[in-house]
Order: sequence, then structure tokens, then C-alpha cells
Amino acid sequence: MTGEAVRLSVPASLEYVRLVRLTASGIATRLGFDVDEIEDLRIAVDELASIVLEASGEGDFEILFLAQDDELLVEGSAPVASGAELRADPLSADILAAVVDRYEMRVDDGRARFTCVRRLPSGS
Amino acid sequence: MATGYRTVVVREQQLGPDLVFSVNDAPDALILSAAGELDASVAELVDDQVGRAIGTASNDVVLDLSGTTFLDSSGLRVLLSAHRRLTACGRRLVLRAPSTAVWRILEISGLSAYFDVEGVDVEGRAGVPSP
Repeated sequence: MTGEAVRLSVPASLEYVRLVRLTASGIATRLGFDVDEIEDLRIAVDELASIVLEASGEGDFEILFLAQDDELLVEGSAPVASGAELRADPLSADILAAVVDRYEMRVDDGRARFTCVRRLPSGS
Repeated sequence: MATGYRTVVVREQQLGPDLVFSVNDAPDALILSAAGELDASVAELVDDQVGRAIGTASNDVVLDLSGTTFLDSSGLRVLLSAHRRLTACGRRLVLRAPSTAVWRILEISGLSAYFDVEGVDVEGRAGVPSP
């Protein structure tokens, strides 16, 4: 599915993170990730989505999965009130550092956003 | 009337779309289990239930994680909180037979050696029932 994008939109509520994890798991399987790599992607998406949604709580949570070149890019965003901040506590930060190659979180244009990147297995 | 038997009370509660929490008041230890996905949407509810269960008993607590198919940092915080509460009063929290998913995040977070874990084989893979 290199070059193909998968987009998902769910209500901006923690109850829907399970659906996002299921999607992440299906995409990772399709890309040839092994069992540990699939689990890592599920964890990464869950941690970042939870941080964004704890700051949000209304509207829709939009998420994009894009496999390009040798990387899987995941972007997510949800509306937030002005002045909202995103922060990974030390435990989440340690976990995220172990499961993705890089990630970032920010607030702009009234939306809380995250991006994370995980290298694809060779041969994908 | 039969004698020599002890009534074991098992209480089950559905705490989310995919999480069943149960309390088994066994003779040697209070056995809790969380079957399903323990994430931020249910962590607070699970933490409340674990706290209540711990408060009703005075022995060690076993948390059966064999049926826990997903655990994130919010779930780890529930485990850390229970561990601290029990340690403060001289009791133990034992994690029993963590599933592969639970073992993965325990390893990633560096917490696998912090907890007392039973039911993990010598190669460190999870999901092996305790003897």
C-alpha cells in the first residue's frame, strides 16, 4: 500500500481510540510488520491519540495513515480550546521514544495535532 | 450441610465496551483480573475498582493479566498506583501471566523488573500459566 493513504474520522472521544488502534493494527499487518512491530504501532497511536483527545473532547478526531518511501506516517488532529497545551508525561514519553522513530505534538489553527513516523520493514 | 469448603466470591463488572473486571476473593490472596483492553477510556474506573478491592482485603493481591489484550501508559499507572498502595501497608502486588501485549509494554517502559511477575517463561515471553 506504499503511496496509498487511509483516512479515518471518529468522534473526538477516548472511547473511539480502540477503533483507531484496530485500524493501525490492520495497516501494520498489511505492510508486513511483525507481531512486536504491530504492537508498537498500536501503542504509539494509542498514546498520541489519548494525549490529543484528553485536550480535546468535542468535534471529530481525524487521522491519516500514509506509507511513503520507507516510512509509515501517522497524523492525527482534533479541535481544542484556545490556550490548550499538549504534553507527554515522562512515562508516555519513554514509551513513545521506544516505539516510533520520531514524533511531535503541537497546537495550531485551533486543533491539537500529532505526527509520528515508523520505518517500514524492508521489502514492504 | 457440607463442611470443609470455603465460599469464593467472584464479582464481575463490565467497565467498558471491551473490559471485564473481576474480583475473586480466594483464600490465599485477592485475585483481580482485567479481561480486554485497558486504555485511557477505562483506566480511572479500573483504578477505582482496584482501590476498593484492595481496601476490602488484608492479604496480597494477584492481578491476572492473561486476558488483557491491550495496556497503555494509563493502564501502567493503575498498576503503579496499586503497587504503591499495597507496598505502603506491607502487602504485595503480583502480576499473573501477563499477555504478550502486556509483557511488551512492561518491557518497553522498563517496568518488567519493577513488578513481581509470575507466569512468564525463562525467555521472558508472556502468557505462560503459572504452575
